[in-house]
Amino acid sequence: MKKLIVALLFFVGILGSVWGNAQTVENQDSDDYYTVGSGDTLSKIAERYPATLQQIADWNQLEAPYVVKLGQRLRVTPPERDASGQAEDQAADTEEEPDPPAETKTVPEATTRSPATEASTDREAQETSMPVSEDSSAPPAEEQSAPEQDTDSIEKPSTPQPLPIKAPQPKQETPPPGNGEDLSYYPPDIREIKERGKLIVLQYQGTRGGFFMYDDEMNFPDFPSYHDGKGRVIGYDIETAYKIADRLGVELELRRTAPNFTQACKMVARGEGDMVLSKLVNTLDRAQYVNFATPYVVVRLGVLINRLEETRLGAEENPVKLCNRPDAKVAIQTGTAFIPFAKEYFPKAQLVEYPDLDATIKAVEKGEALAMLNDEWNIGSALRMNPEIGVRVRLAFIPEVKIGLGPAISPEKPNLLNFVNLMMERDHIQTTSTFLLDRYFDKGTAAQVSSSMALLAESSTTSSVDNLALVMIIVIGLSLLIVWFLMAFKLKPAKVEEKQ
Amino acid sequence: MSASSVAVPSQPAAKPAPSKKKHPIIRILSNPWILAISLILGGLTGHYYKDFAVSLIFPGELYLSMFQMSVIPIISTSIIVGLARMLRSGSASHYLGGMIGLFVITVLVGSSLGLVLGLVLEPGHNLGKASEAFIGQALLEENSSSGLDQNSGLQDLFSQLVPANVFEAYSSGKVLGIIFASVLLGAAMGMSRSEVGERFLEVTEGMKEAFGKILGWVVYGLPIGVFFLIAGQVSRLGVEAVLALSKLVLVFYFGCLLLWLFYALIMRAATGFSFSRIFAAVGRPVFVSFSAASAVASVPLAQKSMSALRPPVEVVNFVLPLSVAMNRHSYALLFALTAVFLAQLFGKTLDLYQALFILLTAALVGSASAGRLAVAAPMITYVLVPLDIPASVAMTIFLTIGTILDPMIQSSVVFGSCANTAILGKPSPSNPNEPYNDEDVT
Repeated sequence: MKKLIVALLFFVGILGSVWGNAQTVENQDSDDYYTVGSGDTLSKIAERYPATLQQIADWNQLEAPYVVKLGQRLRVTPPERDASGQAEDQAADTEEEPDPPAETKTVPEATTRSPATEASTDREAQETSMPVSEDSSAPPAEEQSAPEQDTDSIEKPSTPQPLPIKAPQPKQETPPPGNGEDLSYYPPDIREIKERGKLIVLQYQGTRGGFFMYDDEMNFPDFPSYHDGKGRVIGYDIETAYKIADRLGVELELRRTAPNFTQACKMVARGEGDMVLSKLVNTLDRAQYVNFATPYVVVRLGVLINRLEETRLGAEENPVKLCNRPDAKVAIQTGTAFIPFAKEYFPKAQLVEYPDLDATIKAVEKGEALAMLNDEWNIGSALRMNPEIGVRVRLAFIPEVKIGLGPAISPEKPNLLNFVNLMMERDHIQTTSTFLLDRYFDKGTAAQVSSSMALLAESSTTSSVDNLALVMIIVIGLSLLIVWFLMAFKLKPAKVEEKQ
Repeated sequence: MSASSVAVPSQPAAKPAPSKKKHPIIRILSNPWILAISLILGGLTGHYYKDFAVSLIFPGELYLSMFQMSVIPIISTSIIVGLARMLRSGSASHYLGGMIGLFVITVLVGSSLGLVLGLVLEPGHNLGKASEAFIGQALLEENSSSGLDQNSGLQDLFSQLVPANVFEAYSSGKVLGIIFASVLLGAAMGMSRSEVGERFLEVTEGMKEAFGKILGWVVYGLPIGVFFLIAGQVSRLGVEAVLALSKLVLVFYFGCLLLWLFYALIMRAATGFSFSRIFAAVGRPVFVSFSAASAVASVPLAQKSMSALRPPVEVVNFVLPLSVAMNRHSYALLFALTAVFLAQLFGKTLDLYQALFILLTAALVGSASAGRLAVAAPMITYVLVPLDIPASVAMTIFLTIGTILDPMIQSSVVFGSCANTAILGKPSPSNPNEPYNDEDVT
């Protein structure tokens, strides 16, 4: 892939040298490197350049939290691109564009993209297969919102340009394979993806908090996102999909059409996509027709327990022992994988079915049921959203049961499976549900609820009278006491004398 | 009032006498206004300059260690000397019976005050969603143990009370064990009439005096120490936690102030001294225990300043430290109040039997609670579990607001102990008390 880019850039570079402009060689350094200013984050920097966050991180050997320091010099172009021809070429392009000098930081963006525009606008016009998604997701990885922001920051004349420019850029990578880059040594499954130039990922059409959800309020502006026509989708599945596409050197196409999770698996088994990334549980049923990659998250089986009921029934730390008794009611959601689990672990308990997750949680909160059973993630995210129920319930785990969430890949694509499995470890895609809860639920919702302001407002509205009276009494009482003490202290010498 | 009218006129005459000897800096440092100013400054610093105040935690604790360095020897020696002298003079049976009766009554006053305040002011009703969210979050983060470890609390208590090795108890600073050992030593000393025993007592008294001297020097640093300690404490206070549980905190503080009033009243009734004189005796130790959030630390100070009320020396020596260690009314109040608070939070109505149960267990368990709230918190299990209220919630609440409750708990313990001492050591016509004699009082 990198060879490909080098070859391509070299070609463009020769073109550029024909125009024969070498004035801006001194710019080369600032093209290749960017000095971190105040307020910069890696994703912000990535927005300004035709590179993804991941790429910049790779070129600079940055590790996962991607912390950059003020004044740090970051390589923002591929390290291989050293031939002077390119710089000249860019300089040439720059001259053609009226706008870039207006803002130096946007120069590299415009320059590297412009040749692509010229090269492939016509081609792009012909290939209209997925215009919407390509436009928005074209930069191979991170920022969907980047184009709009760029548009804002660049001077008016250039406004129309970044949008068409940005999309074709990866395209320009795609044609060369056909143009003669040797793909013959790739196995068929990978070759197919490379020739196609995009990775097709299938997903359930709904949302699952933290894994794929709409972020219309822009709570997570820095997170990788995909515009599916309805809105900006973010989540760990989206992040993972971009990472895989990025590593394969192709674009991402996300098809969020599957009516349910099992259907998504069947579609990929029929070859309608390359993989499913959809908070998919690796059940044995599904494993009969798709291959599951190594799970990126393993969640435990969670048991939400009503504190009062638990205390009433007697001390028992172990949730299995606590719930497996004839007088215990256990709430479960109808039609989920947790019914068999409940039957397996609580054979003696009375199982009560509820239509949805919230109803089961409510039942436990109100004490209608002693406990409910679901996966750690579903319960954990519900608790993050409504921390106040934590007063009445507690979360325990059945550690023996591990539920794996991971990508499903068609059995026809064994090399893709290998590739993804290797990536899981190498790129630290494997994570924990706690990490994800912190990342996507951030206590943000909870923090909002329990912020000091909310608490203040609350304590002033609810029964303000007796609170105020108490405060007054205590303040007056304490100040009286202090005055008293001080007066009393003054008497001390007298008392000493009395003694003598 | 008569006592104050005597004291006030003599004040100007008395003042120059000690001040002539003392260096002006020392005079400034022992000025009570300076103490008040440093308290206020410390509070403001802790609140507005959190980062700076956090860096004051360490010097504050260092000062507290210096303070406490001589506390344990003083407590131990004073119990030994006090009990032995009592036994030798034959007044022991009189004081012991009175002490036990007083301990029981006052701790029951504490727990019933907590119960009544909880039932009347209803701190657990309509807590509000934001407050519940805060508590819920704290509980979820605290994670999950059901807090039902029934036996550990009592076992811990007994293992602390009876040290495996007396010297180990001294070296590890386990106050309960030290007191237990001291009581035994004092009793043994008091029973023996030998001359060697008398000499041992004199040595012990000498040690006590020496440590008292050291403490006297350390006390000069009090304004600075109070500043450090208060700033550190305030900086560690979670404002959100206090707001979320503001009702509980307010009712508890209110209850403790009522307790103080109660103490002042019974002290006045028992001794006949004026309120200002009573506060002169109690003020500084209460002040110190409040800012250091430690009752034990202010025992020697309390012993000295209680001399103003002229209880017999043995009573001050023996009753005061024992009372600080074992007669914890504010804990009884807090536990009873918290039990009612949680019952209200979980929507349970308490019947008469349950209320009575809370009253008695809170008094019992409160007396057995030692140290700071974070250490004593598991004791509340005994109050809550029989009522089917999950104790883990109470423990999490105590951990979150321990920093703000501790000063009040500890200073109330000191105040109560001073009250016990004053009542038991009240001057009677038949027994004209010698004033407690210690030169470095000021």
